[in-house]
Amino acid sequence: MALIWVGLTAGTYMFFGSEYEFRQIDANILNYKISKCIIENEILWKNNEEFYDKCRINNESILANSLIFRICRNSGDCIVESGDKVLMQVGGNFQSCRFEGVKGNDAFPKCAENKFEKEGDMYWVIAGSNQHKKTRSVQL
Amino acid sequence: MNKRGESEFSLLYVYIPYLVILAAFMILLYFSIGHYLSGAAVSEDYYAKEIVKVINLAEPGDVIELNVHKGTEIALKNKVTAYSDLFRIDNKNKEVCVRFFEQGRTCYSFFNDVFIDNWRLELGIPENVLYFEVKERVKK
Repeated sequence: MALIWVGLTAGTYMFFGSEYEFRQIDANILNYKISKCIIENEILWKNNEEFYDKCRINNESILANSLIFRICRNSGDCIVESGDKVLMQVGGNFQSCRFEGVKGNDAFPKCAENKFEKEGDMYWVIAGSNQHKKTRSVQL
Repeated sequence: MNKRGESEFSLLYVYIPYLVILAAFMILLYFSIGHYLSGAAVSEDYYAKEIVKVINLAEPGDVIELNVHKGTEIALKNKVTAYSDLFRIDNKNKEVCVRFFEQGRTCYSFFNDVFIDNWRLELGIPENVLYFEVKERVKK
């Protein structure tokens, strides 16, 4: 009976277990919000609080849910950039956004990139998401 | 004269432990894969993420009405009749939780730093609708 239970449970999880893929949409929306915010606001980039306030992005939610982003200005390649050209960054391992081999791998984030010009400066925004659903039991 | 009846009765006693084990097995199976087999897990996942998408793209002042009729039908089929408990929006943890199955709920987080107010399920107008208002977050 234990063997039957293991078999049925494993089979069900394998067949129905994969979740509705939403990470790319999450990354696209985060990228859109950041890009729109930079275009519409003057951000001094001196402290992160100002950015989160003006862009209406919840810092704790970003950190708690495996969301990453990086903002560069006048950068040749934001993925590998370091120093002053990186205006802000949350999370790491942005190189994995470009790995071809991990596109079907759930362990790596799905990313979105956007480049735009504002007042003569070239901005490059990379946002990624590796957020998964949370299943909670209900006490009856 | 009652010998046959007596033997059947004693035979039943022999099978009782097996019947108890079978019942326990069925209950265990229901708890472990019922959420998936009923279709509730897939629908919860879909609804939670789609609601999060709407919240992430919303601006303060928006009033949202989402048709969730199909979801409420799935919940009713799975004997979840507490309509007030089908959808939950947690402003503190920035989470949307959906419950279409008795024993579990699926949650997904949003990063838009807004306050979701007056969220409720409105029944039969003409279909069931999830209503909420998007407001500016009250700063601490």
